[in-house]
Amino acid sequence: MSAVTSGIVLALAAVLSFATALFIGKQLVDDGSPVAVIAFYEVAFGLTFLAAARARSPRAGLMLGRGALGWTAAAGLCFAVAYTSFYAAMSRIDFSVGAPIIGAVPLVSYAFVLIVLRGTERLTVRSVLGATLVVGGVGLIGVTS
Amino acid sequence: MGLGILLAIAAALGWGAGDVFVRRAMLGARPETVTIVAAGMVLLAVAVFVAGSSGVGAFAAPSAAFVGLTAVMGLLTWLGGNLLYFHAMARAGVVVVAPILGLTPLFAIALAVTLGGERPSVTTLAGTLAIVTGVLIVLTDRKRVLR
Repeated sequence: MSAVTSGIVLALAAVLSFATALFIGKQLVDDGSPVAVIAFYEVAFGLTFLAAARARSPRAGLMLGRGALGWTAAAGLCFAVAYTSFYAAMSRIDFSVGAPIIGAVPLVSYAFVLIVLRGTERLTVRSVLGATLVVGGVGLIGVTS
Repeated sequence: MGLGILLAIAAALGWGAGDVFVRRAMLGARPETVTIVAAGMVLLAVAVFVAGSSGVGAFAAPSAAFVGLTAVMGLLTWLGGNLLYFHAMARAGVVVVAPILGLTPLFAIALAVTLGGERPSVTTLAGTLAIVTGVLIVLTDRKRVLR
């Protein structure tokens, strides 16, 4: 199996995991639990599991070079802003308004690929067309949910 | 433009940029390391948000079932979700993998239909068709996006 194919398989496995977690999260929200508190516990347990998995595989070093450290910190900061902005947004607007905006993430990533990964990846007409269709579809589902 | 919409745009920008920065970081670091650092920063931010918006009393877990279910969610989202997603990005690139994440609502809907007894609307089915078609179109170019 090529690296790209294995990456696609891993991405599909990740999607299944995310979707199952979303389904469980929806049950908790329906029971009246605050979304941000659910997220806090979810991330706390997630970090615990990640640390435990790391402790079981000592070959997987945690060392970061200076360049990687900067990009990792930038990514962590972006995700931190994303999570808190998302929960703050959801307390102010309906999910049907927010979901299509959040669904645009692939196209936002494509814009940053042009700046940050210019020498590593390339955008093609078909990839942009496909991602636009995905964003449209996610928006359609979000609006009607 | 309302504050809520601006916050949603900030979230989309954060997730979109974060994915690309993760990919860039993984040119010199392992996905496990990047995931742990990202989870730590997100945990800190969410903790500050919960304390600031609802007070420290909000951290009290309502029940043992809540703790158990959020533990399963943590396992699924961070070990099964983000870690695998970052591994996927390291192998296939952001351009191929990012749109695949758009399939998440489809699987969530499938679970809601099969386990929750919900019935999808025509627009939901149209959105589903658009997402699947979009992902298939991206995958036809999967060998051309990596330099």
